[in-house]
Amino acid sequence: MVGPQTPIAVIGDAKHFILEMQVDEYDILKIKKGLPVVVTFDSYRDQVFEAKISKINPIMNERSKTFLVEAEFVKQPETLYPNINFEASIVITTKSNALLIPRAYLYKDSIAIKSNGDSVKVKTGLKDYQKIEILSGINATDELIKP
Amino acid sequence: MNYKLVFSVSQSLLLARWKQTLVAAIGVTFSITMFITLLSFMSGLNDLLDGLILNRTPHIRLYNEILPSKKQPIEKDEHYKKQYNFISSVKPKSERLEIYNNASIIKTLKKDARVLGVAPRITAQVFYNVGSIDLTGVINGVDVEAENRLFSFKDYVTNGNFIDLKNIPNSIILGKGAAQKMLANIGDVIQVTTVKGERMQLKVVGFFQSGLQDIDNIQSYSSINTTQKLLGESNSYVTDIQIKLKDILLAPQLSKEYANIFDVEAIDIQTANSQFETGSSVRSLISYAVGITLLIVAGFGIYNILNMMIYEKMDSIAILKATGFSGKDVNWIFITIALSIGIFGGILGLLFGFGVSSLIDQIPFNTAALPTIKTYPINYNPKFYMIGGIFSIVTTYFAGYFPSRKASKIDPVIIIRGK
Repeated sequence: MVGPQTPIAVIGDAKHFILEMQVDEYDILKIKKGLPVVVTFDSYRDQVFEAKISKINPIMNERSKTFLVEAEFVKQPETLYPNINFEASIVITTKSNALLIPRAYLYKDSIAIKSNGDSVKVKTGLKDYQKIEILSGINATDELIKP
Repeated sequence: MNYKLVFSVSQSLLLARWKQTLVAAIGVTFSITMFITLLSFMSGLNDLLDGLILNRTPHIRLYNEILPSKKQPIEKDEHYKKQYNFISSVKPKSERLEIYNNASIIKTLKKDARVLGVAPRITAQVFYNVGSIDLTGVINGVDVEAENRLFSFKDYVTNGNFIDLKNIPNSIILGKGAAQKMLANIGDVIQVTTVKGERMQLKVVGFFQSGLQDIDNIQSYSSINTTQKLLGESNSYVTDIQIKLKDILLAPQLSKEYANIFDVEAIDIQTANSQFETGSSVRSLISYAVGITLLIVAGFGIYNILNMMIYEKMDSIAILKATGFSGKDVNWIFITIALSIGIFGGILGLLFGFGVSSLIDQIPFNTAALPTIKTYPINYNPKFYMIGGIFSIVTTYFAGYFPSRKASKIDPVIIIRGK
C-alpha cells in the first residue's frame, strides 16, 4: 500500500556514493576533514576500500549522542547499492619510527625498570591494553625487566 | 578336598549358632538395603535436578550475537596491516540476529549422523499489555512437534494441550507466572506489543510451567509462524537453531566445528551449564561413599562374629584337624560360612532394597516448582544392584578370610593337650 508519506521513487546519482558514519561525542574532536578512512562491507567480504572524510555535520543527534560524519571514496567499488551496511576505521594519525613496549613492562604506566635495576620515569603517548608508546625516557637499545 | 563334607560341616556350624548367624546376615541385609535405597533415591534426585535444565537445553545452540568485529577494517588493509594500530571506541557491528541461510544449515544438520534432532526457534522480546500496564516478556517461537520430541515440551505444559499451539493460528502458551500476573485463562485473548511497536492479539491455549520461577514469569511459547508474523519477518526468519546430539559428550567439539562451518556463534551444553555436571557427580560420589561405608561396617560385623566363633569352636577345630582335615579344609569351612552369610544376606538385601525403593517411589511429592513430578524420584538402575551384590560377596569373603586363616593354623596337639 502506498500512503501519502511513502516515497514512490528515490532519485540519486547511482555512480556517486557517500558513506555516512556515526561518531560518538567522545571522539568527535579528533575527527578532521580529509582524514583517511578504511572501509569494509558485509557484501564485499575481506575487501578493504579507502575513503576520505568529506563533511562533519555539526549538530549532535541527542538520542544517540553521535555526530553524523560523511566520507567519500578515494576509489569507489564497482557495484554499490544505497543503504547497505559497512564498518569503518578513521585513521587519525600515523607515526613512523614510534617506540612501543608491552604495557605490563611499565609500573603505574609511568616508570620503567632497566635490567641493571635503575628505575626511569618515562613519558608515554598512545596506549591500549597491550602496548604503550614511549615518547621519551628510554630508547630502543635499553633492556627492561618486568616490575 | 571333599566339598560336600566341607559344606555340611559349615552348615552345622552355622545352624548351631543360628542366632549369631542371623544377626550377621541381618547386618549384611540392612547395609545392602540401605546401599540400594540410598543410591536409587540419590540418583533419581540427581536425574530430576539435571533433567530440570538438561532436558530442555539443546546440546548445541547456534545463534548470532551482536559483537564487535574481530578484525577491524584497518587491520585488514594492506597498508596499515604491518604497523601497530591503536584503535579506540570500537563499536559492535550492526548485525542481524537472523541466521543467514538457516534452511540449508538445518538440512545439513539433519543429514549429520551424530545429530539426533534439530529444532529451529525464534526469540522475540515483547510486552504483554494488561490494561494500561506493560509487562516485559519473551516469546519463543518454536516448531511445536520438534520441540516436543527433543525437549519434552508436553511435560511442561500444565494446562491445555500443547499441540493446539500448532493447530490454532495466533495462539500462545503463557508462562504460569506471566498468566497469573495477567489474570489470563485458557481461551482468553491477550495483546502483545513487540519492541518495534507492532501489536498482535494472541489466543491463550495453555500454560507452561518449567519449575524455574524466573522463566515462568517471562517466557511464553508460540509457533514459529505466529512469531514470524508478530515480528513482521518473512517465513525464513529463524534466530536460533537447537541441536540435540546422540552423544552429549561430543557437544564441545561439535559446537566448534559447526561454528566454523556455518559461520555463526555456537554454545554447547557443557559450557552453558557446567555447574550441573559438577553438582551431580559430587552428589553421587557422596552416596557411593556412604553406601560403601555401610557395607564395610557390615563386613566388620561378620568378621567379629566369625572370630568369636573360632574361639568358641577351638576344640571342634582341633578335633576336625585331628581326624584328618587339612588347614586348607578348615580355611574353606569358615570362608563358606562367611560367604553363605554374605550371599544370603546380600540377596535379601537386594530384594529389600528394591522393596524400599519402590515404596519411596509411591510417596507423593507434589511441588509447584516441578509440575511433572508426582512422587519421589527413584532410579532403578541395575548397575546399583550389581555393585551391591558384588560388594556384599567381596566384603564377606574378606571378613571370613582373616579369621579362617587363623583357624587353619591351629595345632590340634596344643589344644587337646591344653584341656
